[in-house]
Amino acid sequence: MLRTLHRLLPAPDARRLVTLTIWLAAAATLHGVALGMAGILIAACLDAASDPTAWMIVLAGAVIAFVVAQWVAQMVAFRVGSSTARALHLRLGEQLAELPLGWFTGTRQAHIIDLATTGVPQTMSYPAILLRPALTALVTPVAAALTLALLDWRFTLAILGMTAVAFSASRVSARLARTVDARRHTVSAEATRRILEYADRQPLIRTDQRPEDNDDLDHALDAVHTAAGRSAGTVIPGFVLFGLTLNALFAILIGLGVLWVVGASLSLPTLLGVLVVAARLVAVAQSGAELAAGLRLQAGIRDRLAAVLGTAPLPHLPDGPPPEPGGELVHVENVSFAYDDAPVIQEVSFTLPRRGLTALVGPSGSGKTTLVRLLARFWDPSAGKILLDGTDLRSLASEELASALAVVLQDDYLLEGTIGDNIRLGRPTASPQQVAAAVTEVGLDAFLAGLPDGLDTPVGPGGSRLSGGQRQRVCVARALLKAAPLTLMDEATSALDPENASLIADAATRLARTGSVLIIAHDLDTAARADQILVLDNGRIVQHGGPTVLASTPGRYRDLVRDHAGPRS
Amino acid sequence: MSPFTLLRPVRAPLILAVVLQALAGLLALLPILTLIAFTSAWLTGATAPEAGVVIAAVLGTLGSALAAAGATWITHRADARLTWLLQRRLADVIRHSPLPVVTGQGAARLRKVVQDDTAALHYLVAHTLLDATTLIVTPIAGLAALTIVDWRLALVSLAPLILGVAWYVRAMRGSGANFAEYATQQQRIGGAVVDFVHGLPVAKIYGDAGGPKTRYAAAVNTFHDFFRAWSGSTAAVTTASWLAVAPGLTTGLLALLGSTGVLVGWVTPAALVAGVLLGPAIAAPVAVAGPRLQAIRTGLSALGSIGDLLDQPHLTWGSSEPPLRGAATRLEAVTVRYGEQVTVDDMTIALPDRGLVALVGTSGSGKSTLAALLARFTDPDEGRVLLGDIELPALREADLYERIAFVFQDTTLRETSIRDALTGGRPVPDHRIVEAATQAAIQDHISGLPHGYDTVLGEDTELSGGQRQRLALARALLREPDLLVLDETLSALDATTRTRIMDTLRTHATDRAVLLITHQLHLVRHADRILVLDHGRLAGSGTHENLLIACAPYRTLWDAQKTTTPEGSR
Repeated sequence: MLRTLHRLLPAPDARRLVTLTIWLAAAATLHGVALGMAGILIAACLDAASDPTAWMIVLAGAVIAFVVAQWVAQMVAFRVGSSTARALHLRLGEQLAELPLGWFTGTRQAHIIDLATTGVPQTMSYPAILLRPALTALVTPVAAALTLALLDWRFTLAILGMTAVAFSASRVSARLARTVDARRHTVSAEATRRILEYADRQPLIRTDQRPEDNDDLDHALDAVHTAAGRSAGTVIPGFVLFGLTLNALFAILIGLGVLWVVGASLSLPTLLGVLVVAARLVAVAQSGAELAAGLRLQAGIRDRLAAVLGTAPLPHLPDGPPPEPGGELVHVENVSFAYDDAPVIQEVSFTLPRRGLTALVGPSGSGKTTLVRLLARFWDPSAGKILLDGTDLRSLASEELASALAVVLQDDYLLEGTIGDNIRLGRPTASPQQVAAAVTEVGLDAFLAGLPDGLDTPVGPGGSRLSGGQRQRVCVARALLKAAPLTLMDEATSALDPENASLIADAATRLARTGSVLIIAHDLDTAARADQILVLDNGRIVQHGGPTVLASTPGRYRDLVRDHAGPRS
Repeated sequence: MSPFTLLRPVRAPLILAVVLQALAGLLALLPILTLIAFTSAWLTGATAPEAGVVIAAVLGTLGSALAAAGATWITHRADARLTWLLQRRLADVIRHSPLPVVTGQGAARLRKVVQDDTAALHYLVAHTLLDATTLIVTPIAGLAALTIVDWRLALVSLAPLILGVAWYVRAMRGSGANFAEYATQQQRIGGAVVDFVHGLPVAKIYGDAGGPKTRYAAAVNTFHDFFRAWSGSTAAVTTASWLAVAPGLTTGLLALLGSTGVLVGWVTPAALVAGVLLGPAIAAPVAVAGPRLQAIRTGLSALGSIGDLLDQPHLTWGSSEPPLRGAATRLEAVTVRYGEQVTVDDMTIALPDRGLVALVGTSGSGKSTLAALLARFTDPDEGRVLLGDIELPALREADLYERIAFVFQDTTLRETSIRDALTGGRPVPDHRIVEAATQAAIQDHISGLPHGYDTVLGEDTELSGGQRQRLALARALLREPDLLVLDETLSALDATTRTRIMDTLRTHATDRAVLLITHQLHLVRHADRILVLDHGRLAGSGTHENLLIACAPYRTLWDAQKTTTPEGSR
C-alpha cells in the first residue's frame, strides 16, 4: 500500500509520506521500548534483591519520549493525510484531461465519479488513522522484544519468533475474510440486481399481471438466503484463527517461562515482567488486525486509482513531411478499428472536401458513430491513418485538432453555466448578434424569448433544466457559432420533432457552404440534400456518391430510400 | 416506526449472540486471572492453586474462542435471515407503491436502500454488534477484577479512561455541523467531477478543457481546505484522546505508580502485577470507540431509511366487478403534486368511449402524469379517476389492466420469446398474434427473424427503440382494451411506419377510445378530439379547427411547430 501510494504521489507529497513513516516508526519503536522498560521495572520491583528506582527513572524517560514522538508523528500525519488526498485528487484531474476521449465509457465514468467523490477522501484517513496502528503492530513488538534482552535474551528470540507467527496468522485470516467477503458481495450483488430490475420492470409487471414475475424474484431471493445461511459458518475461521493463535502463543510463552523457572535458569520476577509486556503486545497485535479491514478497503481504492493514473494518453507522432497546400480537407486512408478485438470499422477510405455536406447513412450498428469519433480522435485507428489538412491526426497537438473541429455528439452534455455560456463556448469572441443568429438558426429563439432570463438562464446540472431537444439544439448552435473547418454531427436531431430536425438540416446545409460538414442521418431527407453520401454497412463503406446517382443505382442506398418512401400525410 | 422494530424478527438470536460474545469476553480473562492467582500465591508464600485452576485457564481460552465463533455464526445467520425478510418486504413495496416512489425520481433512493443501506445493516448486525459487546464487557470485567485486588490501582487505571473519553467528547463537539459540511463539500466534488467527465469531450473540442478542470480543482481545494481546518482544529484533542489510553502510556503509568506504591508499602507486589496486567485493558477501548460509534451511527441511519421506505403507503385495490365492456374513462377534479410542484391542477376530463383522442401540450404540462394516473401508477392527491362509474382503486388490479392498455415511451420488454412477450402468457391463437403484429407494423421484421415468433428477445436478437415500441403496441392491441393509451410512442419511428400505425389507431378507435399523447401536432390534426394541457390544466378540448380559433395555448403550439417547418404545414 505504502509503496504504491508513494509511486502515485507527486515528489513533494511522496517525500512527506516518507517523513511521516519515519516519525511513526520512531514513535512505535519508543512505544515498544516503554513497554519493555515497564516489564523490566516490574521484574525489579518483585525481586527483593534489586533497587527499582533507577529503572523508574528510565521508564519515565521512555514514556515521555514516546508521548513526544507520537505527538509529533500524529501532527505530521494529519497534515500528510489531507495533502496526500489533495494531491491524489488533483493528479486524478490532470490525468482525466489527458486520457483519450474514447476511454470514457459509461462504466468508467461512473467509476471515476465514485473514486473522486468517496474513494480519494477515504485515503485521507490512511496516514492519520490506519498507518499508525499498522506500524505499531509491526514495529512495537520487535522494539519491546529487543528491550527485554536486558532481562533475558531467550525471550527476545521467543517474542520475535512469535511476532512472525502472529503476522502470518493475521495474513491468513485476512485472506480467509477476504474470500468470504468477496463471496458475500457476489451473492448480495445478485439479489440487488434482481430487486432493482424488478423495480425497473414495474410498468410491465403491473400491466401484464403475471404471477410468475413475483415468483421469480421470490425464488431468486430464497436462493440467496439459503446460500448466505449455509455459508454463515465459513466466516468463523477468518474471525477466530488470529485470536486463537495469539492466545496459544501467549500460553506457549508462559509454558516456556515456567519450564525455565523450574529448570532454575530463570527467576520468577523476570518471567512476570516479560508476561506483563507480552500481554500488552497481544492487545497491540489485536487492534492492528482490526484495522486490517480498513486497509483492505483502501487497497481497492489504490488499485483503481493506479489503474486510472496508469492509463497512457494517446501517443503523439513526430511531425511527418510538411503538408502540401490545397487538396481535400480530410483523408481517411484504409482505416480499421476494433473494440476489444471485435472489428467495427474495416478498411475504410474516403475524403471530405473543404466545403460541402457529407451524409453518413447505414443501419444501426454499422459503425457510423465510431467512424465520426475516430475523426474527432476519441481513439486512434488500429490500422490506416486519418489526415487533416495533410497532417496525421496523431501528429497534431490536441489544441490544433480542437481548433479545426466542431462536434455535436449523440449524448452531448452541457457544462455548468447559462445557455449563453454553453453556446458561446463555440466562439468566445462572438458578438451578441452572432449568438442570436445561431439561436435563431436552431429554432431556440421562441423558447429563449419565453424565458425571463433568456440566454442567461442556467442550464442546471448537465443541462437538466432543458429538455432533450433543447439541449441538442444548444449543442448545434454552439457548433454553428464555431463554424470550424470540419463539423461533425452525430444524430444531432434524434430528440427533435421533424420540423426542428429539418431546421437543423437547413442550418447544416448553410454551414456546408463555408466548411466541411459530416452528418450522421437517419432521416433520408437530410441525406438527399448532401453533396456526397457514404453508405456504411458492417463497418465498410459499401456505396459512395451523390444522392441522385445513388438513388438511381441498385444498391443499399436505393433500398433504404425505397423503404423510407411511402404515402406522406 | 422505530428503527429497532425492523430488527424484531431476529431479536432472540441477536440477544443470544450478545450473551455468547459477553461470555467469550469474560472467559478470555480467565488465563490472566489464573496468572495473577499463581503470582500472588508465590509472592505471599501461600500454597499454589491446584492444577484445576490451570485447566480452567486452558478451558477458558478454548471456551472463549468457541463462544465467539458461535456468536459470529449466529449473527451471520440472523443477518442472512433479516436481509431476506427485508428484501421480500422491499419487493412488496416495489410491487405495490405508487410508481414514482420506486422508479424515475424514486430509483436513486431505492438503489441506496437496496445496495448501501442493506450493506450497512449487514455490518451492524453481523459485526458491529459483537465488536461493541466486547468493547464494553472486557473493560468492565477487568475493572471489577482489579477493584477486588486493589481499589487504588483500579482508580489509577480509570484515569486514562476518563481523560480519553473527555478529550474524545471535546474532539467530537460540533462535529455534527462539520460532518454535514463534509457531506456538502463531498457532493460538490461529485458535481464537479460529473461535469468534468461528462463534459470532457465538449470541453476539449471547444478548447475549454480548462473550465471544468478548473472548477473540479477548485471544488477539490475547497474540500481539502475545509477538511484541513477541521482536522487541524481537532488534531490535538483527538491525538490526546487515544494517546492517553495507548498501551505504552497506561502500562508505564501503572508500573510507575504501582512500584512507587510498593516502595511506600501501599500496594502489595501481587496487586502490582494484577494492576499492570488488567489495568491497561480498561481504557484501551477508547482508541477504537470512534470507528465503532461511526459504524453504529451508519447502521442506525440505514435502518431508519430502510424503515421509511417500507412504511410507504401501498396502492390498495378493491374487489368491485368491472363495468360493462366499452366503458368510458374520466377524471374528476384531479390534482397531483410532486413535492411543492403541482403537475396536474384540478383537471376534469371525460374521455369518450370510442374515437381517437390526442393529448398535446408543452413538455412539463402534465401529459405523462395523466398517463400515469390512468395506469394507476400513482393516485391523485385530490379528485378521482373512474372507469365507467367505478373509481380505479375499487377495481381489482387485473381488471384495470385488462380494460386499459398502455404503450409507454420507454418500453422495457422481458427476455422471453416474442410470442410470449406479445401475449403476456395468455393463450392467444396465432392468427391473432400475426394480425396484431401486422397492424403494429412489426410483422415483417418478426417474420424475417430466424426463429420468427419464437425468437428470444435479448438473447437471439436486440431490438431498436422503435421496434420495441411497435412490439409493445402489438401487445396492447391484443388486449382489446376499452382504452388504449400511447405515451409519445411514435417518436422513434420513420414517417412511413408512423403513417401505417396512425391508420391502425384510427381503425381501432372505432371500437374503443385511443388516447395518443404526443408533441407532434401535425400527426393528430385529424383526431376526433384534441385535449390541450397547459401548466397542469386543461386549456382546451375540441377539433383542430375549433382549437385554432378558440384555444390560445394550442395556437401557440401550432404556430411554433408551423414556423419551424420550412415547407409550412404539410
